[in-house]
Amino acid sequence: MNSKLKNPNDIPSRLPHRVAIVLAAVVFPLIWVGGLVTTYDAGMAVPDWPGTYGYNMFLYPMETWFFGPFDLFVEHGHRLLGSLAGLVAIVLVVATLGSEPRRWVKLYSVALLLLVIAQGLLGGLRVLFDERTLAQVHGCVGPAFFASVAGFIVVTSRWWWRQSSDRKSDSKARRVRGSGLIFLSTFLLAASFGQLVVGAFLRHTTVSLAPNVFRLIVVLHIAVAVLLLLGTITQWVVSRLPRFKGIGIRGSINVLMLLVLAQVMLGVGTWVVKYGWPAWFAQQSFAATFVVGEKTFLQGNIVTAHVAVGSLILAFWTVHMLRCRWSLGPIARFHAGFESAQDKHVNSKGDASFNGSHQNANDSLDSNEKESQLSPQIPQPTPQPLTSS
Amino acid sequence: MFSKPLHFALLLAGLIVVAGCEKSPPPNFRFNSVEWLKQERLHLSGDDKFDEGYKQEIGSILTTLFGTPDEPKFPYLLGEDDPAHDVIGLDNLKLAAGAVKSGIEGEHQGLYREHCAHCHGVTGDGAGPTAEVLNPYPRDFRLSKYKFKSTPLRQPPTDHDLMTILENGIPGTAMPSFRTLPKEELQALVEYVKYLTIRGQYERYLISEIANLDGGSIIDLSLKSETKDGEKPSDDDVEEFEDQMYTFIGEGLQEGIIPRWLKPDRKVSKVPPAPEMFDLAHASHEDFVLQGRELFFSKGNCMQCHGQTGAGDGQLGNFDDWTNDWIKTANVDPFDPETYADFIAVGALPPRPIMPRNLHLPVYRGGDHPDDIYLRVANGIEGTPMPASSALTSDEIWKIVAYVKSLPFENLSDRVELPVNDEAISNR
Ligand code: HEC
Ligand code: HEC
Repeated sequence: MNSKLKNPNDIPSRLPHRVAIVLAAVVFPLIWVGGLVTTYDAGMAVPDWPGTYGYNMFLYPMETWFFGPFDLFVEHGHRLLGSLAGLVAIVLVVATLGSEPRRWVKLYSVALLLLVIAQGLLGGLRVLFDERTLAQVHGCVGPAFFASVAGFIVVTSRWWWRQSSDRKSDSKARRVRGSGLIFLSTFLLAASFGQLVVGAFLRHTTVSLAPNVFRLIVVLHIAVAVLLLLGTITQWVVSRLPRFKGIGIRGSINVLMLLVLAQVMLGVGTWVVKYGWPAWFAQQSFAATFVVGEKTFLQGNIVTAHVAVGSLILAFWTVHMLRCRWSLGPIARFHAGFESAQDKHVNSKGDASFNGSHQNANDSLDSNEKESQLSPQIPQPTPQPLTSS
Repeated sequence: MFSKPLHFALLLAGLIVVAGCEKSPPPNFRFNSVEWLKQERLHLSGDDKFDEGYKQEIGSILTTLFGTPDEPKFPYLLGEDDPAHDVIGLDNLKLAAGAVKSGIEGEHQGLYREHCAHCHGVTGDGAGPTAEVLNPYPRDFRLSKYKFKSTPLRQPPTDHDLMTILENGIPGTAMPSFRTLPKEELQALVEYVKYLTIRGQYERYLISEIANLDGGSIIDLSLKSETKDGEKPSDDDVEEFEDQMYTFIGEGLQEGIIPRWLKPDRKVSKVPPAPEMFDLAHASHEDFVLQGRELFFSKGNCMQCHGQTGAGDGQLGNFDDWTNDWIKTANVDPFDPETYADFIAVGALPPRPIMPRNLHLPVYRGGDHPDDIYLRVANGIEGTPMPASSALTSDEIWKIVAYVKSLPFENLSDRVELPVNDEAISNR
């Protein structure tokens, strides 16, 4: 399995990375459809679980699904997509256990599988108990799972590997430091998850909630939105500084900047399509003539897009935060497994000059000696003569 | 590695929720504590309170007659032949009530809770979760007042009126259009709105009667039942019981509240056909509009609220009837929150002045057909300061309607100052 690892710059196997991308590609529509389930109050369109109207979920007749009522279509579709996500997560675990040298990444893939199973159970219990609290938790774990998959994609990416060999070669003096960016991106990741939880609360309010409590939650949601917007702008501006060029954090923050701006607009849009324009606009013709259209296509999609972009933001903060940590942080803890695998490989050659450009390799190797000793159970890549690369 | 604590925290949270979660109880009707407090203030001195036992009693009378949000009932006291069957059908109530569900045929249940309760509240008290962030507030049905209807003031709306509101929504407010719902579901919702209205009205009536009871029960069931030793109740007691039944259910509900809802179609205001000159293409249309304008500023007295320019900047310190209902209580000043904190504490929404409409906006919440606007001007808008214009002839009303319709297109700089009704201004 590791026989492909000819060069420390090589990546053992691209498979986990690719499967994780497939998983993300399944989970995002899953979240979107899950949003539709809530938007159309279709959560109880299929009253049983894990079956669908007494059928085994996978055998539920196509024509009643496709041509039946819309909420049944949405709810059953959500269940099928969910099962697909579970299957892909299993494939991911198999692929990762089979080809990934880092122990913690293996554990990571198992954790992903456990999480997706838990999420499926939550969804099922939500139906069986017809319970809004469960729906809220289900609605928050979904995006968290999506973000975790995004994180997995980052740590198995080529960039991540390349970055770790660069780190070894760069002298410490040359390393760009950016603890501010690391702190801010971690904070904003946490804040966007918090925002998502608040949003789930707004979406799943019980009908007997007191109006002043609801207003408070709205105010909180808006305040956090402002915070996130300002934080993202700050992060974006700072990452424009020349010293952060070419270290792989600009792409993700650019995407985030766009997503957050879009999300603010979608948030305003969500308010308008659900409750009309706020009274400040009462004297404007566009606001005064506006009629809220309940359960219309426009309403359903704007609201659901707001939900889906929320989880996209969470996922991208995860990506961005990991990238900041990896490229700006002190030599990170979490490459221990990989490093030791590489270290052993290099050490076994007895000479570090495996590549003309990496003259300082020994430097950082020494500093990592301890870490590599802490994780001895890492599978050893088979040393190959470098000349064969 | 730091992503794992997050996973574990989430898993743990999920498990705790799953394990520690009893099914939350179904929502219940909320007692009208604002009316209660208002009546206490009205009839008792100082810090005196009504006997809390009445809350229980009113609650159980209401539950007996109207059921619960999950299991609605309706007091068809005359059985099968009760004319109230025309007002409200039990099947429709059941379709609209209860928890949100939908079936394999696409049939939906719990319509009210799915579509309305987050604004209008489970009880129809207009205090659902979203109420405070909306302006105007969602309608509190319990006062039995509706703004946009074809019937005169103090008459309930027709099914058609309510249906029109549900289909069209109310522009410029949060009240949505439910055009996407099937007609049968809308009809069920209309009947559920009437049910909540009648229930809420009856609850208000019962609360308002407490002060007259001198501490006795409203309806004393013990009068009718056998004593412990198996003695039959005395004739006096039975008579007393029947008296109570007659007063509080017979007069209060059966003859008092429900009949207003029977055949409201009969009471629909006739809108006379518009004069020919109302037609935009008519040669003297402009003149017709000018006459309307004069009426608007003189006899119609419309500028008193809608302002010198019709921009809605006339009288600004008014409140609607849903707010006036309790802010008229002694010592309450709607502009001083401290004076009404106790009302807010029991669930009243903070008072907000009602804005007369800016008539330069081409928006008529009750419908923009000329007949609709005619009805608004002729009958007024119930629950708001906008008065019925009893002094105007139908011809004059049509002139005003023509002027109102022209207002959005009026060029303000072209206006000629008109003589102003000074008396009305000094009333401000
Ligand atoms: C998003 C909030 C919202 C929802 C959902 C909503 N309403 Fe309303 N509704 C309002 C508001 C706000 C008003 C008050 C408008 C006004 O005063 O001009 C109102 C007014 C009304 C009125 C009174 C109209 C009149 O002529 O006075 C009725 C009846 C009504 N709603 C019924 C319903 C029903 C039935 C549903 C569910 C199918 C529903 N509403 C859902 C906000 C809502
Ligand atoms: C005492 C104050 C008052 C007076 C006098 C008054 N209005 Fe109004 N009017 C209001 C208020 C308040 C509203 C807003 C009602 C609402 O929808 O909540 C209103 C609303 C309206 C509307 C909008 C109806 C709709 O469907 O949206 C029209 C049209 C209107 N008024 C015309 C008139 C005309 C014409 C007159 C004179 C005959 C007049 N008003 C006199 C207070 C007044």
